[in-house]
Amino acid sequence: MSSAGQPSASMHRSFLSFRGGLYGKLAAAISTLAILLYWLDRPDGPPNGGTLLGYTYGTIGLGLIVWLAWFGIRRRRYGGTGNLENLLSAHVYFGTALVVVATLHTGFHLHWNVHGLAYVLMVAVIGSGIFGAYAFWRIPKLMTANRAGETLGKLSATLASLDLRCQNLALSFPDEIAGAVARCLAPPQARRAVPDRRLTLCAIARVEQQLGQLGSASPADVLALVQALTRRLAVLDRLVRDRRYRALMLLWRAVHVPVTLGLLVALAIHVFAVFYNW
Amino acid sequence: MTTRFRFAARPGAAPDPRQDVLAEGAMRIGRAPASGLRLPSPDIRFEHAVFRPAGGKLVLEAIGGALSGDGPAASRRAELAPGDTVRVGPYLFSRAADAAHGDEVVLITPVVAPPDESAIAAAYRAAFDVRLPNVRLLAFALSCVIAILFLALPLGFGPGPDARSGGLAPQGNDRSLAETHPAAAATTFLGALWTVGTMSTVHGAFGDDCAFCHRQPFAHVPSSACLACHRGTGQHADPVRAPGADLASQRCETCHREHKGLKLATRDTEADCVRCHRDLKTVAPDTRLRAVRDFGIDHPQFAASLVQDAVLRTTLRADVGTREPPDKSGLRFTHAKHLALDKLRKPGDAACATCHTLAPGGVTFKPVGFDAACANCHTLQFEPLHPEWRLPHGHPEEVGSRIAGYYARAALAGETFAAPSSDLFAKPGAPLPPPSPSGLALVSAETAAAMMSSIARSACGQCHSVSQPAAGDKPDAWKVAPVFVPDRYLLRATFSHASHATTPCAACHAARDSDGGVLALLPGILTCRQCHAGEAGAPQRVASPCATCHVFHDKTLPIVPPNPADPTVSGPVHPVARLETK
Repeated sequence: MSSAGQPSASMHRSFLSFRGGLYGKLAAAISTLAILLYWLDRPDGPPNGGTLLGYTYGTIGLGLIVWLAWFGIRRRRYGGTGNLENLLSAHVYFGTALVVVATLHTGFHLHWNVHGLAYVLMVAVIGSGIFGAYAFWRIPKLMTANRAGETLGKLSATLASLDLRCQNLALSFPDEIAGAVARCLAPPQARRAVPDRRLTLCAIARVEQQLGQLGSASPADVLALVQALTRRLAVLDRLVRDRRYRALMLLWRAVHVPVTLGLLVALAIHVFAVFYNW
Repeated sequence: MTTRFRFAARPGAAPDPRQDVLAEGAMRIGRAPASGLRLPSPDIRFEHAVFRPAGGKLVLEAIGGALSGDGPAASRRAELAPGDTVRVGPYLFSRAADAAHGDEVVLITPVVAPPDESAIAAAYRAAFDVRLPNVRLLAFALSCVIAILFLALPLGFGPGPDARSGGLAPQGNDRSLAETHPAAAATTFLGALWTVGTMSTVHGAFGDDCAFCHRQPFAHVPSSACLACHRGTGQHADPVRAPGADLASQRCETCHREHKGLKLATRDTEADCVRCHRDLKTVAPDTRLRAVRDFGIDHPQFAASLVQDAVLRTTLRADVGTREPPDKSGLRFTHAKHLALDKLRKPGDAACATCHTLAPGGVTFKPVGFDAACANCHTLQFEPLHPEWRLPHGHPEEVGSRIAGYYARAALAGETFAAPSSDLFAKPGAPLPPPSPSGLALVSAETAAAMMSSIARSACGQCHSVSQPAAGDKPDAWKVAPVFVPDRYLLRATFSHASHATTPCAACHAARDSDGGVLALLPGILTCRQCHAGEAGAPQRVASPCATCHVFHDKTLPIVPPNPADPTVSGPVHPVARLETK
C-alpha cells in the first residue's frame, strides 16, 4: 500500500501488505470456502444458524471474535508471542472475513432481539475497524502534508501571535470594523473551542470594504490588517484540518473498543439464550 | 488650566514622562489615531469620551464608550475632583490631590493586564487538542446495559419455565387476560428478545410463551410437549415389526424444525425415506412393502385395495392394470355400458359429472347415491299399468309389503290382471282351467309373480345380487347382497382430485372402456409419470418427492410417549385440551 513516491518505502510498509498480504489471501480463501459451502448446503428448511453448517459458522465466528478481541489485550503488552505488526495484519483481514462467516451464520435472518443485536454490534466493530485501518493508511500522509514541517505547538504560537497582530492593527479602525475583527479573534477564555473560520472571512471582507471609503484608515493599514487576517485564516485552517485528522485517527477507537466489549457480552447472551431454550 | 495625563505601565509603577499628554482645553479620548488622548486598547471605543475642564473641575463626558465610577454602573458623565478616580474602559483615571507645577495631574493606569501571547498559544493548543471520551467507562456502561436488558430481565421476568409462578405473566392460561395485561405484554417483549428466527404460523399463536414447548432450560423440546396437543399422532410403522422406526424413542424436532420461518420446516427429503425403503426387509423382515428408490426411476406399480367381502369390508391388494382378482363390492355396474347410453353421451367430463360430485375437501368424490344418480333411469316400477307405484330403494324389507299393498288395493277395487280364460277352445273332457283367482289368492299370486320379475331381474337384480327365499321361508324373504363401494382404492397414498381438477377425468380413468373391473379403471404409475417425475424433477414434469403422495405418520398406530411419568411431560395444556376437560 506504500506509495512509490516515498523515499523509504520499505521502512513505511503498511501492515496491510505484511508478508505480501498473506493474511489477506488466507481471509479471502476462508470467505470463499464459506460462501461455497453455504451455496452447496441443502438443510431442512431455510438456511439458518441452527443447521450443522450454521453451528459450524457460529463456532468459527465465536472463535474469531474472541481471538480478534484478544488482540486488544495483546497490543498493550510488550513481548509475548508473535510480531505485533504480524498480528495487526491478521487482525484486520480476519476481522473482515468474520463479516462473511457471521452473515452466513445468520442465514440472512435478522430480528429485533439479542441475536440481531450481537450481529449489529459486530458489524459496528468491524466497520469502525475498517475505517481505522483506512485512517491509519491514508491520514498520516495528509497530516504530514498539512503540517508542512510545523509542530502543533508552533502552529498554535503562530496563531496567537497573528491574533495579537490583528488586534493591534484593528485599533486604528472604526468601531464597526474593529468589532468584526475582535469577534473573529475570540476572547482568550473562549479559546477552548475551535474558532469559526467564517468570522475571520467576514472580518476580512469588512476590512476590505474600507479601501475605497473617504476618511477611513489608510490603505497601508487596511492592507496590513487584511494580510494579517488572511495569514491567520491560513494557519487556522491548517490547525482545524490537523485536529480533524487526529480526531479521525482516534475517535474510531472510541467506537471500536467499547462496542467490542458490548459485543462480547451480547455474544455470550446469544449463545446462552440459544442453548437455554434449545 | 493645563491638565497633564500621565501613563503608568501598571498599578503602582512610576509614570513614564515621555508618554505624558498635556491638555489645555477640551480633548477627545479614544482609540482613533486622531484622538487627543489615544488609548490603544480594543476595549476603548474609536471615539470614547471627551475631556473638558470646567472651572476647577475636570469633566469626562462619554461619546461612544462608557464611563464608570467606583461602582459598577456606567455613567455618561463624570467629574474628577482632586483625589477622585474614574474608570474608562480598562483604564483608571486618577486625579492627583494636588496640582504639580500648576498643572492638574491625571494618572492613567491600565487595570487589565495586556494579553499574554504564550497564554493565548497555550489556549489554542488546548482548543485544538482531541480528547477521547472515556473509552473504559463507555465499554462498561454499554456492557451493563446489554447485560441488564438482554440477560437479567429476560431471565428474571421473561416467559421462562417458572414464569407462571414468579414471572410477570398473569396466573393461569387465560390468553385473553394475557393479551391485555400490560405485565404480560412486557413478558412477551422480554421473550421476544431471545426468540430465534420466525415462528411458524401454526405455532405462532403461543410463540410468545417459550415455556409452552421449552419445558426445561438447556434441554431439547421433549416430544411430550408436542404430543400434549398433537395427541394421536401416529407411528411411522408398527414399532414391534420395525423397532428402528419407533418414533416414541425419537424427538419430533428431528424432523419438524420450529423457528425457521412462517412454514414449519419438515424434513421430508427422499433420501431419508429411501435409506430404509430401498431395501425395507433389512429393517422389517416381514414387511410386504416393496423396495422403492425414486418415483420417477424405481417405484412399484400402485396396488389397489379391492373389496373381498362387502360385509366384513376386507380388502385384498392387487396391482393396478392386472385382471385378477375381481372386486367383490356387491354391485353389478360397468362404466362402459352406461357411458354408451344416449343420455350420457355428453362431451368431456360432463358425462362423469352426471353421477359424480366432488366431496367437500376435494380429495374424494361423494358416494354415488341411488336417488341422485340412478333413479332417473332406474325407476323401480313393477306394474306397467300403474307406473307411479315404485319400489323403495335401500329398504328391501319394505319391498314385499309395497308390492302386496299394491295388489291388495287392486283386488279390493275388483281389478283383474290375468287374461280372461276362453272355454271355447277347450277340448271336450279336459278339465276347465281354474277360474281367475280373486281376493287373497289374487294378491298372493300377483305379489309372488311381481317379486320374481322385479327383484330378481328388472329392478333389484339388475345391479344387485339377490337370492330367492329358500323353501320353507316366507315368500317375501328375498335377500339383496350388501354393497361396499369404497371411496378410495389406493390407500397408501394421498391424492386430491381437486388438485388435479385441470386434468380431464378421461386422462386418468379409462371409464368408457371399463367393463367393471376396478383395476382397469384406476390409473397406473405410468399415467402419473406423464406429469410427475421423481424428487429431482424433469423437464415439463413436477418434481415429486415421496411426501407428495405418501403420509409419514400412520394414524392407526398412535405414538405413546416412553415415560408418561417424565416430569417434562407435565406442562402447559393446549387451549383445546382444556376446553375438552371442562
